[in-house]
Parts: sequence; structure tokens; C-alpha cells
Amino acid sequence: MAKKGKAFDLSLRRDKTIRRVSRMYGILGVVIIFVTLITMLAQNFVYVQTKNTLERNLSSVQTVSNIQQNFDDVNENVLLLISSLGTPEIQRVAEEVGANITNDFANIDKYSEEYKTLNASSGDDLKRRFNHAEYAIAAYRRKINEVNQELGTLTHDSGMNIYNQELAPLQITAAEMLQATIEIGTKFGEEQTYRSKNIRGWAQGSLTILLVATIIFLFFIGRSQINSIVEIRQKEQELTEAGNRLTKSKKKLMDSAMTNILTGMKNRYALDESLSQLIGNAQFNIAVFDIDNFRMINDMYGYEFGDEYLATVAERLKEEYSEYAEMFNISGNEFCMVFYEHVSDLQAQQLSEQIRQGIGQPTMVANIPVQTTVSSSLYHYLPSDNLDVNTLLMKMDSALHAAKRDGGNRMYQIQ
Amino acid sequence: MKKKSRILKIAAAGILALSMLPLTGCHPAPEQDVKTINVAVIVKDMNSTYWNPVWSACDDLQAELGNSINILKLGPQEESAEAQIPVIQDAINQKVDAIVLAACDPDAENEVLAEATAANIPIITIDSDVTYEGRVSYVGTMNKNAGESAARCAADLLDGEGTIGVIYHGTAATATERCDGFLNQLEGKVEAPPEMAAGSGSKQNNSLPEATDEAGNPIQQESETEAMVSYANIKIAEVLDGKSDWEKSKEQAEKLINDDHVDLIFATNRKGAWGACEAITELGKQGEVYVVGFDYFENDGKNAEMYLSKGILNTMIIQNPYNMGYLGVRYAMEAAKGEPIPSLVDTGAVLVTADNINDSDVQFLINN
Repeated sequence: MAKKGKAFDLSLRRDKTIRRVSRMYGILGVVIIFVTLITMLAQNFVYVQTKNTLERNLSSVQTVSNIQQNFDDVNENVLLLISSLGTPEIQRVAEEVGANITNDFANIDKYSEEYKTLNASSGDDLKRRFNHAEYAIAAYRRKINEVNQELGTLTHDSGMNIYNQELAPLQITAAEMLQATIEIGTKFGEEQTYRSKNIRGWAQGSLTILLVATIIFLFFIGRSQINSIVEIRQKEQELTEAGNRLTKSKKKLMDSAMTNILTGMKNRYALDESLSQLIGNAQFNIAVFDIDNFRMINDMYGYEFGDEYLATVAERLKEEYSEYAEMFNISGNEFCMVFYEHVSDLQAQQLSEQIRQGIGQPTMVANIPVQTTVSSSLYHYLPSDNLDVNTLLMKMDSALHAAKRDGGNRMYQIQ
Repeated sequence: MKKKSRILKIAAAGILALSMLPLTGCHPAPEQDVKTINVAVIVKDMNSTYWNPVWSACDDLQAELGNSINILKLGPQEESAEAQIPVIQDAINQKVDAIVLAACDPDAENEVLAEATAANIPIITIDSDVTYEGRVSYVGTMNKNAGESAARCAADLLDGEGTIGVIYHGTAATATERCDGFLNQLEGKVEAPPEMAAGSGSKQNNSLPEATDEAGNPIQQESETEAMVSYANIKIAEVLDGKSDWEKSKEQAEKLINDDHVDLIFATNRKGAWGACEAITELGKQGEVYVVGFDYFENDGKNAEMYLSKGILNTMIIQNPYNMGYLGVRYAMEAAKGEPIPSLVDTGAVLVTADNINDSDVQFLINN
């Protein structure tokens, strides 16, 4: 029972491991798909975002550049106007230039508005710099308007003075601020491009690493799981073998406990065992044989010799009577026969006598002939006798002792 | 033992995977190629709020240009050449790539500036120029020009007739230049203005194109010496030193009003303007005497805007220290890279009156 239980546990464990491994593979598969999807979506999101930002950035830089062109145009017109001061052409130039400047400023206003809608998502630096540019343009524009109103009173020289001392500084400042805005915008665009490349690079890189790492992980995990399954199987096998060995050795142990080592016959315990099965169930004949004065043989030739003699006798008994009775060597020189069912009471009586005399027959041991006499007792058991094993054997013993007391070399049948 | 070797294998696999990283993801950072340019910005006095716009321009530039520039904000604890020279020396010792300097004295620092030139450090002056010829550029108000603008404005205000008193602020170059410009304009001694250099952002040539008629022939320009307002009836009463102190300036203004009966006081700096406004208020001369003065002032709950609205301060000439700082450092960067920059950059001065004080760009100027 115990052995079977162990085996069952092991196979259960093996099944569990297989289930666990397949579940883990399943989960990892789902994780890989999930992570890949997320990374791809994130990459796409970053790409779209960056693309939009870059497009807006490009447009806003283009818009500032348009403002710059118009602003330069204003300045050219102002210089033309100033240089025409004091000439007869001033009226015509003033009209022409005035129209150009108005047109340029209208364009600047238009582009400024356009820039502000595009610029919504760009950095603070860019917004601030454009703010400065816008105010510088506003200051320049106001000064131009003031000069325009005084145009009639200006001479070439005073116009030059005003241009150099008041208009040019405002023009330079505004031009510098516009240029700075374009530079910051371009830098911002470059940074965005770099950042998006970097983010996408990192995303691709980490996805690759993740996949490679997962595959390697799966490989090792799978291998270790396969190893453990193989190990479990090996252990299972080993345990089965160990169980078998244990059963065998247990049987051996049982056998040795039930067998007399010297004669190879079953011993007293085995007799008890056999009798307890028979008593109360069937009728049977039982006989006990004891070699008279066996101690003298031991004293005369030594124990080894005595043992050799007993072994020879036992061998002969086994050869001749195994088919009639189950034989036991219940102590050194005492044998017991439980006759089989097919042996009749009379036959048992005859066989007992035959055996008793047979044991005593001259026997060669180490080239020394030994002849003994044997006493025995015989009992015909009936279930109705109502005896337990001990009482039965005591009865047998006392009959045997009575035979010995009466001179030995005889058989007493218990009535 | 077995378990250990498995961990080792996994670690080896991890390292292998990580080693693939450079193949897949990384792009070299463009910033790495950019050399950081160290620019020392040295002002006259670390404790004066006048330089705040310059510092804010520096902060903006630092934010805009990132690691391509490193701005060191320096200056002495008090406004003097003696205190400023060691600061310049320090910057030279630190091997900065360029120096932006607001000089405390036009002459006294020339020696140490020559050392900077010897160390191949370009010098850009802002706000106050030096006489040292080796400085690469001056970025700031052309004080003489601003003085002339102030004179034109004063003459307009008096409608060509009246008495003017002047309060200047000590020996500072700005005081002398503004005074010179103002007086020369009124006395008709204005020289031909210096040809202005175009800003680097402007692609065009700022020199005057020759005016042509419709046929393309050059137009003969009329010789014109007459100013738009005649200065013949304008009298300069006295030119007094307010010593860049508002109480001294007030004292001098009282003298001009009481003794010289001036109609207008021209002050070359904020302390002078403030003293003059105080004097007019105390003497009850509102509407009779006007002030035309440099720079915005705010002190003791009184400010330039208040006097402007009362009509005492008629015109305030506002410089643009933010732009001085911004353009100064921008040009310094270009000079450090060996690119050519204009030797004179006028950041201009805006004449602020009650009419335009609320314009967005003027407010922006005042608040920056």
C-alpha cells in the first residue's frame, strides 16, 4: 500500500509541474504580445506627436522668417524715404514707401497672429523671445509713425540723425530678436528630432532586449523545467526499485526469522504460525522427534560435528518425507512434522515410527559413523480438542519427556 | 553548484542582450559636439537693482542656448574701478572665453583689459564704454545720441524758446556724453552721427541708398542746415553736478529754479530726475518747470510714472539694459567663436511721455 501511495504522489507532482510549466509559457506568451503591442503603440504615438510638433515648429520658424523678410523690407523703405528727404521726389517716394510700409506691417501682423496659433505648444524660451521681437517691432513701428507725421519738417540731415539715433537702434534690436527667435526655433526643432529619434531608438532597443531576454529566459526556464521532470521521473523509478528491494529484503528477513539457519528447515516461529492457521479449522497429525543423548555427540566430537550431523539428518528427512509433512526444526535436536491432509491417521502413525527409526539410522559425518536413538510423540488433533498452540505443544513435550523418562527410543501417542 | 551555474548563464545572457543595446537604440547626442562657451558678465555693482534686467537677459540666454553657453555673473560689491579690476582679473585667470563688461571707469581699467586681450579673451562693453581700443564691441545706449534726442525733445517742448538748466551725475562717462550730446545739439555743434552697424540678424545693408528720380538719375540733395525747430532762442542757464545723489540733485534743482528761473531741467540720470521732480513739487512749480530726464526711478512710494501723470516729469528717456545684456552676451559668444561682430551696437533709448507710457512695448520695457 505504502509503495503505491508514493508512486501516486510522484506522478501527481509530475502532472502539476507540467501544468505549471505550460501555464507559465502561456502567461509569458501573453506578456510578450502585450509588451510588444504597447511598445509599438507608444512608438507610433511618439512618432505622430513628434511629427506634429516638428511640422508646427517648421511652420512657426517659417512664419518668423516671413516676419523678418517683411521687417527688412520696411527698413529698406524707411531708408529710401529718409534718403529722399529734401528732394523734389519726396512726395512721390513718401506715398509709394508709405503704401509699402503699411503693406509690410499688415503682413507682419498677419504672420504674428499665425505664429501665435502655431506657437501654442512650443517652449517658453521661444515664446519669450518672440515676445521681445514683437515689442521691438512695435517700438520701431511707433517711431516710424512719429517720423511720418513730422515728415514735412524734416531735412535730409535731421532725418539722418533721427534714423541713426532713434530708428536704427530699434531696427537692430528687433532684427536681432527675430534672428534669435529663428535660432531658438531651429534649435528646438533639432532637439525635438533628436529626442524623438532617441525615444524611438530606446523603444526599439528595449523591445529587442526584452524579446531576446524573454527568449533566453524561456529557454533556460524550459530547460530547467524539463530537467526537473526528468529528475522526478528518475526519482520515481528509483523509489519503485527501492520499494521492490525493500519488499524482497523484508521477505528475506521474514524467511530468515522463520528458518533454522543450520538445517534450512522452518523453525519454531514458523511452526506457531502454521499451527495457528490449522487449529480450530481442520484435523491433522503432528509428531515431535528428539534425538536421545544428543549432548554426548557434542561432548565427544564438538559442536561443529554435532551441527554437521543434524544438518545431514535434516537433509535426509527433507529428501524422504517432504511429500508427507511440513517439517520444522524447533530446537537443536528436536524436529516436528505436521502431516498433510492426504496422510491418514494410520499412515501418519506408520510414517512417524519410520521417521523415528530413520533418524537413528547410522549416518556418516566426516567419515565417522554415528548412530543414535530417537524418542517421539504423536498427536492426532481434532478441532473439537479446543487447544491453543501452546497447550498443544506442551502436551507434545510432556509425552516426549515421558518417552525419554521411560528409557527413550520409543514413541508415545497422545490419546 | 548547478543552480549557481544557471544563474551565471542567465547573467551572461543578460550581458549579451545589453551589449546589443548600442546596435539598436542609441544615437549620439548632438549636444556632445557643442563646446560650452564661458562668458563672464561683469557689472558695476552687484548690489544695484539697475542690473536686474541684465541678469534676467543672462538667465533667458542660458535657458535658450542650454549647454552651449555658461554665463558667469560677476561684479564688485560697490561701484568703483578699484573694486572692479580684481573681478576682471579673476575672470581672466578663470580663462573664460569672453568678457562682457559694464565699466565703472572709461580709462582706469584699460591695463587689465589689455591683459584680457593678450589672453585672447574678447571684451564686449555694455552700458558704459571704455577708451581701451582693444575692446571688440560696445553694446548699449549711444549716450551722446540719447543726449541729442533729449535736446530735440526739450526744444520741442519749449517750442523753441526758454531757459534750460542741466543736472549731471558726476564724472561718469554717461554723464559727460549725455551732457555733451544735449548741449551740442542745442548749440548747433552736432557732428555727423556715426554710421551705425547693422545688426547681425538683418541681412540688408543699412547704409543709405542713393535716392534716384524716376529716370534713375541721382537726385541732387538740397543743402540743408536748418533744424526743424530753431534753437536760437533757447538759453542754457547753468550746468550743475548733482553728484548722482538725489538730495544734492534736489538742492541743485532748487538753485536752478530760484536763481536762474529755468523753464526746463535736463537730468542725466535717475537721481537727478528724481531730485528735480522733488524740487518742483516742493516749490509748487508744477506746470511752470518741466523735467526731461534719464531712466525710470522708483523710491519711497514715489515713481516716475506718478510724476509723468502730474506733468512734472515730461519725458523720461529709458534705456534698455535687458537688450544690452542679451545682445552683449550674444555678440560675446560670436566673438568667442571668432566670428565678426559690429564694433558699435546702439540698443537705443525710448522717449517715454504720458502719451505712450501705457503702450504695451513701453510697459514691457519698464517691467523688464
